[in-house]
Parts: sequence; C-alpha cells; structure tokens
Amino acid sequence: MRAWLTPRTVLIVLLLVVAPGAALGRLLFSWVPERVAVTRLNHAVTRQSSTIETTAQEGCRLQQELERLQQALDTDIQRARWLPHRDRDRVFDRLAAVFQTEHVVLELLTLAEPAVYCAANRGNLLACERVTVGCAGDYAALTTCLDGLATLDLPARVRHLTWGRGETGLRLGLELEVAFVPDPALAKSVADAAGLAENADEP
Amino acid sequence: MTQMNLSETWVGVVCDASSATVLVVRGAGPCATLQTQQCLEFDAGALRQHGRLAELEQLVAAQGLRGARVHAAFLGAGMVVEPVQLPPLRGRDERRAIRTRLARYVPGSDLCLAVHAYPKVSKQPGKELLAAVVDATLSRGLLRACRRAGLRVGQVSALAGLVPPPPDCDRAVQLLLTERTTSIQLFTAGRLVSCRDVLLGRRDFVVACQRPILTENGAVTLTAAEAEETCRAVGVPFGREDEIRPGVYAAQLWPTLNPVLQRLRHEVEQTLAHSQVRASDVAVSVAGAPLVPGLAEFLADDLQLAGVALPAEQAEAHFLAGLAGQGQPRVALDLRPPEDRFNDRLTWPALAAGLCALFVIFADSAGPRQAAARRAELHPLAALLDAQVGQVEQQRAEIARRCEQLSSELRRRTALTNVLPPVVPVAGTLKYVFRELPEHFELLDVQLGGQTQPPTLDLRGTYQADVPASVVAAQWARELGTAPFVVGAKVVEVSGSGQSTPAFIAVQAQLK
Repeated sequence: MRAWLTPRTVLIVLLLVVAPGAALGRLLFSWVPERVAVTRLNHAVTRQSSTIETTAQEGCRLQQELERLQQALDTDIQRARWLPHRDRDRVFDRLAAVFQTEHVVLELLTLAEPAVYCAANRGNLLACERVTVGCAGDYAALTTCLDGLATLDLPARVRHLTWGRGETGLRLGLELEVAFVPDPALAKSVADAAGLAENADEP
Repeated sequence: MTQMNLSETWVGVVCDASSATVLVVRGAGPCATLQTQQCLEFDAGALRQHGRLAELEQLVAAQGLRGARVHAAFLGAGMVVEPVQLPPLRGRDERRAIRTRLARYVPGSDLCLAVHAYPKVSKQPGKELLAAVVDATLSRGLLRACRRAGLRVGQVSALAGLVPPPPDCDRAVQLLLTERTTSIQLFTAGRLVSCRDVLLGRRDFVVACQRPILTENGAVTLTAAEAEETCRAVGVPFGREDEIRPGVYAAQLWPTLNPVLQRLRHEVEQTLAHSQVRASDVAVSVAGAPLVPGLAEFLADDLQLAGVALPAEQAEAHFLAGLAGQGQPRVALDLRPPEDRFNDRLTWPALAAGLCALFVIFADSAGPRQAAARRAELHPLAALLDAQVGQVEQQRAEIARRCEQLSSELRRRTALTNVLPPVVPVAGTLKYVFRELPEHFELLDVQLGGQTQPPTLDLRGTYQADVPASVVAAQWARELGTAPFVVGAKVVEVSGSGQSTPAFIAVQAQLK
C-alpha cells in the first residue's frame, strides 16, 4: 500500500476523482438548478401565453356575445314598448301636446295611481300610468289628434275609447295606459295592490 | 515510449542482481554514441529497502547529468525472460499462470510482469507469449534511486527481448553482455525461443587481461585501467596480428583470454544443444555497452556458426537504441512497477480531466452563464405575461359579468314581452271605420274596449233610407269582418227598418 501512496498517484487520484467530482458538484448545484429554473420559466411563459391566447379568444367571443346582446337590447328599446323608468311629467307633457291643437278643447287629462300593466311573475312586471283624456272638437281636429296619438313617442295603449256626439260637437274619451319599468318598491306596491301571488314564478 | 532529441544526452542504467552499468549516451537511434560508462556495485537489499544508490548520485553530480532522462533496463540475474505457451485462459488467469510459472525463479511475491504476445503460428490452442518478470521491490528501488539522483525516468524495460536485425538465416543467437552476466538468447524468425543467463560478464574479460601476458620480452602485466582500455579497444583479437602495445602483439592475448572464451563458447554450445539447433544454421550477434570487440567473430569461427549478424559498431548502436526504447524491430517489455504504470497511463487523462474540471469550476463555463442569462431574460417576460394574464382574466370576467347582466335583462324583457297585451292600432281602426261607413248612416257612438280579450269595437248609429236597416247592418258587419285588423264582426242590435223613421244599428267587431 505504501508503494502506491506516491505524491503523483495522489495527484492523479485528485485530478481524476476529486476535481471531476467538484466540477460535477458545481454543475449540480449551479447549472442544473439554473436549467431547471429556466425550464420552469419556459413552461410558465408557454402556459401563460397559451392562457392569454385562450382568454383572449374567450374575451373576443364574449365581446361578440355582448355586442349581440346589446344590439338585441337596443332593438328592444327601439321598439319602445315601455319606458325604462317612471316619468309622469313626460307622459303628461306628451299627451297634452297631442291634444293641444286648434279646434280641440282638452277637457280632461288625469293621471291615476300606477297599476300593473303586465307581469311575467311577481318579480318581473311592468307598471303603467293610467291616463284619462277627454276632449271635444270637430271631426278633422279629433282625427288629427288620433294621428298624433298613433305617432306619439310614448308606449301608450288605448284601454278604452269613446267617440260620440256631444252638446258642442264630437267628443273623444280615452283611457290610456303607458307602461314603464317600476323601481322595486313601486313594483312591490303595485303587485300587492293587484294581488299577484307571492310564489308566481319568482326569478 | 518517449521521443528523444537527437542531441539529447541521456543515461542508461543496465542493472542485474548486484551491479549496474551506468552509460552516458548522446543522441538517439543509430546516431547514439556512448560517452562514458561506469560500473556500480550495490547492495540489492539496501536498494530495495531505501531506494538509494550513492554512487549513482555522485556520478550524476560529477557529470552534471541532473535532469537528464534515464532509461533503465534489467538484464541477466535478477530477472527472468522466457517464452511461454499457454492454453486458452481468461486475462486474469493468464497473468496469474505466467506469474506462477516465472515466480519460481525470482524470490519474493511482489513481481513486475511484462508480456508480449507473439503472432500465433502453431496449431495448438492457446497463446505464445514472451514474458519477463523482475522483483518489483528491486525495480521500484531502482526507480527511486534514479529519481533521487535527479534523473527523469523514461522507461524500465527488459533488454532480453531485444530482437537483432534478421540475418540471412532465420536463426540467431544474441549475447547481451553486462558487467557480471551474459544473457544468451536464441531467436527463431524474430522470436525469442530460449534465454539463459550465465555468470560471465565483461568484468571477466577485464580481469583476464590483468593476468601476465607472455611476450618475447617476458611477461607483461597490465594495470586495471590498462586492462579496461585493452578490453574496450582490442577486445578479442580474433585474426589480428598488430602490435597493440609496445612489445605486445594481439595474438599474445589469446592465452590469457582463452579460459574465459572457452567458458563462454561452452555455454553457447550448451544453449544450442539444449534447443536442438544446428550451429551451422545460426548467426551470432554480441551486444552490450561497452562491447568486447571481436567476440562475435571468434564465436562464429570457433563454433562454425553461419556468420555474424551485426558488426561491432552496429551491435553497440542496436543495444543503445534498444535500451532507449527505440530501434526496429523491438519488443516492448515494460517492467515498471504497477503504480508507475498506473501513473504513466493516467497522467494525461488525469490532467485533462483536472483541467476540464478547473475550467468548469472556475471559468464560469457557458452552460451556467447561458442558463443564468436566459433566466434573467425570462423573468421579466414571465412577470409581464403574468400581469397580462391577470388583466385579460379581469377583462374577461368583466365582459362575462356584463354578458350575464345583459342576458338576464334580455330574458326578463323577453318574459315581459311574451305577456304584453296586444296593441290595437286605434287611429287606423277608427279611420277605416269612418271611411267605410254605409250610406245614410250617421255614426253616433264608438266604444273601444281595450281590456277585453280580444278587444272589441262597438259601433252605434242611426240609419234612414229605402233599404231595410237590417240588410244594411248585415252588409256592414260583413264588410267590417273582412278588414285586416278584425277577426270578426256581428250585428248586435237593429231597431226599426229605417225606411220611414230612423233605425238604430249597433255592430260589434272583434279586433285582432
């Protein structure tokens, strides 16, 4: 054993074993973790890019859906079947403007308390302003008023109409309903007043 | 083996069991010339144990040879060279068999073994080898002694494998002379087939020259230095009649050298007889440093051999080349101790591995640097992408929430739309009614019931004409029923005929 234990042999063993071991250790403790970190980052970047792409596609699809829904809503609003909220002044002003024409005497224009216009269920209903109009005039003037009523920018529905001769000429009596979307408190009160069932298909 | 400069001075140490001849040689190959030579007597036990040769150290210091390359060789007593024929064995068993076969000649269990495989010519299974073995402690001690003396060790070999150039005949006997011994080797077709070491060396010739030489003027006795010079310059004066010294002729040396020559002749003859080789088929070659000139010619003539394979100068150059591990052809029998072989074999790979390792450790090799740079490059990108992912997710969630709201609103509106009461075109209906009134009919009253299902339109008026009122009412109801906004119409009331007095007509239309 002593014969083998020469400085040169020791140096060779050091160079052959210890130095590569140290190099391997350095690789293991520096390069390999770096590579692992880089690989992880690469995977993360790839995954995030993929996520961004997928999410962007999903966003585009949702945006298109949103535009479609918005368009549908806009179309629905353009049909003007109801007012988006309660606006008694607007109702009064528009109707008064229709009947304030020449040769027509507006004798009556009243707005009663709101009532239920229609209801899909208790939580989803439309209220309406109940308007009573009474006027007198000649045939042409009243016909003009009716034309104005037909082209009125107001979702009004004729609930009752009376047309007949009066003492001073022709008389026109109208009961109108103007639908609007009530706030929750008003919706509850009109639903209670109309006696809608509590369990009627709540949304 | 190592390459040697042509002008390099190197040291050859030819060692046997108890003596070593130190040769100082300049040059390599055929140009090698012997500068000086010295014989050292040493105690083999001390050499084994301490690895020190004081005489060698003194010679190196005196000649200024420190740092020179040394080529050591074992020859004669102290080593064994033998051709071996082995049955087929595995590597480890084969070496063990050779070691066992040769170990009986060498004391001790620590042996340096060198093997050279001959090309196989016989049909017998197995291998034909040339094996050499020497006591490893002796070899190790000689190496240490050379290193302690300041010499660089080039190789340790067995000179017995030195193959002489092929003579005209394919058999040759080669005599390798050292100070104390002579190795008699028989070659056949370049193969060593027999090797014997006899205790008769160049020293015996020098001692013989110191005996009284009978001349015409009486007996002449040479001093040791003169005998050494005579042995080197004159050697065996075979066929020479010249005056080698004043009053001393070459032929007069024969009686003093004859006993030695006859002993050597006898040993060679024994070798040939033992090998069953006819002398007339064999050429002779005598090598050694220094040579004994004329010895080969004497043996060739005296034994009636085929001739001399190499002249004296060529034999000396051949010997020196073989000692230096050069020459052609040559059988390499590396007799270094195992640790030296290990060291020599692995020095360069170890240096290369160490340099690579140092490069990896200290030079910040490309792998970690690139990985770190890549990581530094990827970190901000990953962070940016992370933020973008968050933003995109947030936007998507916002859009999804808005979509959900709109969908809910649309569903609500659709539900409301489905339950909306029908809208009656009141103005158009009245205008139609006014326009389509029958003749002689005066409209008194119109009642629109928008809350009924379906909505109804009640028309009342008076009529007076020749046609009966009932007929006019029915006709009117039919016409109303064909109107686009009317589902159906019916006469509700007709009072009177209307021909003499006005009749009252009431018609009800059901609207779409």
